[in-house]
Amino acid sequence: MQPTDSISIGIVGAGAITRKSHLPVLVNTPNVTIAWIHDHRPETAKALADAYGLKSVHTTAPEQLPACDVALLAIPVDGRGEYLRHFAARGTAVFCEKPFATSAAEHRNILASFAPHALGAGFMRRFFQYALLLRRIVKERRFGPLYGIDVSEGGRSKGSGADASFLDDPRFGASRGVLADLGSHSVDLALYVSAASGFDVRSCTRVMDGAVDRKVTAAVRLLGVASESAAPIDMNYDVSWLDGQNNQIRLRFANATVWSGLGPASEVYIGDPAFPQDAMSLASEASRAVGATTYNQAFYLEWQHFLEGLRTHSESLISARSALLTTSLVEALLTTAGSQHD
Amino acid sequence: MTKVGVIGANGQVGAELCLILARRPDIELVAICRNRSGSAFLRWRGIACRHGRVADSTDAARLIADCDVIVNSSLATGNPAEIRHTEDLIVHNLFTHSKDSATIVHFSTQSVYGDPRPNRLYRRQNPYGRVKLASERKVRAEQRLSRKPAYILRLGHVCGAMQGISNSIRDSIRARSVVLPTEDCSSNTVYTAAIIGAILQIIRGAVPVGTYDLMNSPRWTWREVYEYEAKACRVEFEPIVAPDRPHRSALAMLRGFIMSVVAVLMSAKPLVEFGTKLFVHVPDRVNARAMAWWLSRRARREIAALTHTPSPPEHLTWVANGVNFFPADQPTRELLNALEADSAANVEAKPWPADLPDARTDGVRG
Repeated sequence: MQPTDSISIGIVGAGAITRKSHLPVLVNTPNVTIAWIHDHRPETAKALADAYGLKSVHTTAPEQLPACDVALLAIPVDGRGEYLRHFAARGTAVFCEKPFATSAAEHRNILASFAPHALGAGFMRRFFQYALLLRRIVKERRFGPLYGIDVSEGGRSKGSGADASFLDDPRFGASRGVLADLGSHSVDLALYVSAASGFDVRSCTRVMDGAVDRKVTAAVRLLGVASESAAPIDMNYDVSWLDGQNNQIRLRFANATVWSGLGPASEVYIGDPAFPQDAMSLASEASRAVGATTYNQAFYLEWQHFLEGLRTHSESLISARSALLTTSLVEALLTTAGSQHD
Repeated sequence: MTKVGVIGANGQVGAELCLILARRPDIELVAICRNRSGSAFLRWRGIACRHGRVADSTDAARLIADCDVIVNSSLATGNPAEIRHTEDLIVHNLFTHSKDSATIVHFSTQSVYGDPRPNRLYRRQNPYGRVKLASERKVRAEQRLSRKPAYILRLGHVCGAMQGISNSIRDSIRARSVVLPTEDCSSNTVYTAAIIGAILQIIRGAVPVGTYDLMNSPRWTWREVYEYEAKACRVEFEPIVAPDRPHRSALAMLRGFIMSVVAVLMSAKPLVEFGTKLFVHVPDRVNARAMAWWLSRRARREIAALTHTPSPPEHLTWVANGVNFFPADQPTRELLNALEADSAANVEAKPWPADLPDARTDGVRG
C-alpha cells in the first residue's frame, strides 16, 4: 500500500460516537473514502448515511457486508465477536471503539487473529496535548522520579439525552458499568502517561446499582513505570456516575506536583492543587507537541496514526496490543472489587 | 398529600427539585426519567423513579396519569427539528394523558427574551429560546383545548447546590478570582428554593393561571448572589472591582464603527496594496496622519495584549428581563434559610429503592 493510496472504511454502528466524532473526522481525512455504514437498525444507518451523502448497507450477517480496507467497529464490546471473526478471516483491518475487550484473555484472542498494525483501539485521549506533555515529563524526569498518580473522573448522571441506552441493555452486561464505559479511558490515560508495564490492585470498592457498577474507588500499584526510581508507584483511582469528581490527573513527583484536567483543552499546571490560583501553567511546553486540544483533533490524530501504520505495516501508537494492559487492569478491578450496595 | 410528577427528573434542575420535594411530608414525588442510566443518581440518593418516554403516547399514561401536578422540567435533544417535534409531543401528551384535574407546570426560560447583552437594538433569540417560545405556545393551545390549569414559568439563571452557575461562582470565589463591575446590577437568577416555593404556591391554588418570570424575590443583584454563595461555601468574599468602561458618546461610537470597517478593509492584502499605491498620490500631510493612526493602533493593540486588565464575566452585564413576575409570597432568602434548616434535620434516604409502580390509567382519556 502506497502512502497516498486511498483507504476505504466500512463503519459498523451508527450511534452517537460515529455521528458526532468518527464520521465528521473521516470525511475530512485525506485519502480516505467511506465505503458503507451498517447498523442493526437499518433506518438509523440510512439516516446517517444520507446526511453525509454516503451508502448504507443492511445485512443480517457480517459475511454479507461489502469489502473494505478497514472496518470501524463502533458498537458495544459485547456485540463485536462475529464481526471480528469475519474481518479477521477476510484480512480486513479493524479499528475498535473503547473498551476493546471485556477480559485480558478475550483481548489476547483477538490480537492473535490480526497483525499488530491492523488492529486499533480507540483510546484517543493519548493524543490530547496534555497527555503527551505529562508522558514526556515522566519520561524525561523533569521533576524527579514519579511517586504517585491520582486520577478522578465523572460526575452525577444528568439528562441522558437518549430515550434508551445500551448501558441499560442486559445483553451488553460486560460494558455497561462506569468502569468499563467511562473509566477505561482514564485507566488507559494513567497507564499511557506513566508508561507502566504491570500493576497490582491493592483495594477496590464498587457502588452497585443491581448488577451495574456506578462508582469505583481503587488503590493500585503501577509497576515498571518510566521513572528513575523504577520502584512501584501508587495510583489512587476514582470514577463515578453518582457524585462529583475532580476530573483531574495528578502526578506526584519527588520535587513537584503536576496536574491537568481531563478535557481535551485542559492545561498542565505545576504547584499545589489546593491553591490553583498560585499554580504555574506549562502551556508553552504543551504547545511544543502536535497534540489535540479538541475531540475532533484527537479523533483525527488517532485515525492518522492508525492509517499511517496500516500503510507502512508498522504498529501505531493506538494499536490494540498497546491497550492490553488497560483491559487487564479494568478486568482486575472488576473481579477483585468488594461491592458495596449503600 | 399532593402527588407531584417531575418529567426530566434527572436533569440539572429536575434532580435538585426532586431531592428537595422528596423531603416534604405533604408531597408524594413521582420522579420520571427516560432510562435507568440517567436515573442512577436519584436512585442512589433514595428516590424511586418511573422510567419511560412521556413523548411516547403509549408510555405517557402509565407515567403521569395519577399525578395531581406535573412539572415539565425536560429538555429535548437532537437537531432543531427533532427537538421541536419532541417538545410538542411531550406537551401534547402531558395534557392528553394526565388526569382531568391535573395542574401542569411548564418550565421555560429567559432566553425567550432574546440576546441578553446590553445596548442591542434587536434582541435576537438563540435556537434554544425559539424552541422554548414555541413550546410555550403549544402549552397555551393545549390548555385552551383541555381546560386544565397550566403555568408557564420562565426560569432565570437557576442557582442552587447542584447548579452549574452556583458551582462556577463558588469556584471563582475559592480561587479569589471574582471580578465584579463597579456598578452592581440586577441578576436574572432564581434559586431552586424559590422554584419549590412557586410550585407549592401553585399547589395551594394561590396564583392565577398564566405565564410568569420566575426569579428571586425580591430580585437579587449579582453582588448579593456572590455574597450568598461565598457565605454558603464559608469563604471570605474578596472581589476585584473592575473599572467601568468610559461612557461613549454617539459620535464616538459612530467613529469607532467607521474605523473598525476601515481596519477590516485594510487587513485584506489586495486592498492594502491598492491603498499603498494610492497613498503615493495623496499629500504628505494625509500620508503622515494615516501612518500615525496605523502606528498608534498597532501600539495600542500590543500594549493591550501586554497588560491584563481584569474584566467582569459577560453575564454580569446582561440586561434584566421580565414582564410578569411570579407573585412569590415569601422572600427567596427566607426560603433558602428554611431549606438549609430542613436539609440539616433530614436523614439521607436508603439508596437504590425499587422502581415506582406504573400509574393506574382508569378514567384517563387519551
